[in-house]
Amino acid sequence: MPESIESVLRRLADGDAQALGELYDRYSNLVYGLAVRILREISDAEDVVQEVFVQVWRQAARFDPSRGTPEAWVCTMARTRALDRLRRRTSRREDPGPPDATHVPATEESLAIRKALEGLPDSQRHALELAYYEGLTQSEIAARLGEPLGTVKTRIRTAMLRLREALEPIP
Amino acid sequence: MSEDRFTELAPLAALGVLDGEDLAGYRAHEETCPVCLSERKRHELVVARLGPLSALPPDPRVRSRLLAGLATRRRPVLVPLLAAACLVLGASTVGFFLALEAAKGREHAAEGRAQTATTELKALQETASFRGLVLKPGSRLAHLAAEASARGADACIVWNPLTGDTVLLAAGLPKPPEGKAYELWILSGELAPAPAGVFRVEGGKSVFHATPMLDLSQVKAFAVTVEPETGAASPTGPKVLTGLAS
Repeated sequence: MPESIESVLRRLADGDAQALGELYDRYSNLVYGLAVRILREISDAEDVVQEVFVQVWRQAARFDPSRGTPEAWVCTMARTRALDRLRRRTSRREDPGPPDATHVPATEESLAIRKALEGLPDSQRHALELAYYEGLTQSEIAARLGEPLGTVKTRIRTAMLRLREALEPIP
Repeated sequence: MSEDRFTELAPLAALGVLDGEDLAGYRAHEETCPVCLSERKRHELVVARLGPLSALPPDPRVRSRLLAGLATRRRPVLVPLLAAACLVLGASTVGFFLALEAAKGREHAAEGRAQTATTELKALQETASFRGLVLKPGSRLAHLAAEASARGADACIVWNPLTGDTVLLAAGLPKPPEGKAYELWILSGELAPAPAGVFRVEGGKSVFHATPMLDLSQVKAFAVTVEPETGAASPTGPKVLTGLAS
């Protein structure tokens, strides 16, 4: 029977470096893909991957399963670090569009999320993406889209409520 | 601001978009409102689940560097052990250890060259053409390892089976002999290696745009060999770089 992720995390918390390799093999695609999506830079994205897994190594004992899945945990770390780097940049990169992830096998989770996002109206999804992938605030999104602040806030709130409703409870 | 107003802000707080007065007001309110705190945390769990949409495999060297970094921190210090060995084991054994240390010294020099090449390769990845191809839908990335004849070199390759475009980055490659150049090969299982163009290096580095519209639909591996500077129809010279199209 394959080892549970909780067991791998316990070993990691005990200082087992092999467990870090196993965790890396499970989640590096997610971390790297998210970092590339946000930063549009291969080398910066690779640095984020390193930083996230070093953080995982150091903080494994602090992971709290009641707060979410290990997948969500590493993705949150990845997004935070990638957005920090993005904000430190002085110039924006061109936006070549989202990278294609079709050569990475889709999981049930990613399919469910994709379906939930595709169910949103374009205006809501776009506002959500600006917030999630570029770390823009509500005022920055309003300025970028040339829309009133109140409209943007309503769109984001509605999008978030619809996503929560569409996605199944976290296993 | 009314209670409902703050509850409405909880999803935005979870996404991290609040700013200005909304942010300050919400933060102050949440300190004494378990309902809003709970709402924000529930939405944060949704936000955290958006990550898997963008999955991409990183370069295998990222894993190697990460785990090597951990191993380095744990490696014991050899010098005190060597001193202890001298006392306990005698001259012939010490001679063995000294030879081992000399070999490790050469190894470290090679590692130093490799480290320089890796750093240079990282800088080459900023090249617009490489970056642009990496981010195209369907593109794939692989690392090429140096063979013994090019020890210390480092390389990676990006290719797109849909467009047939390929860009090779290499650093730390020695200048080939007079009249020779490096040639890239596409290896597709049972088929004969397909030539993908010749390239040279400047200061050991190269950003090589391979022959356009290559058939990359069944590529299994890549190789670089030393060939006549006009190129060869099939590999004749020594391999310097090889990598799997994983």
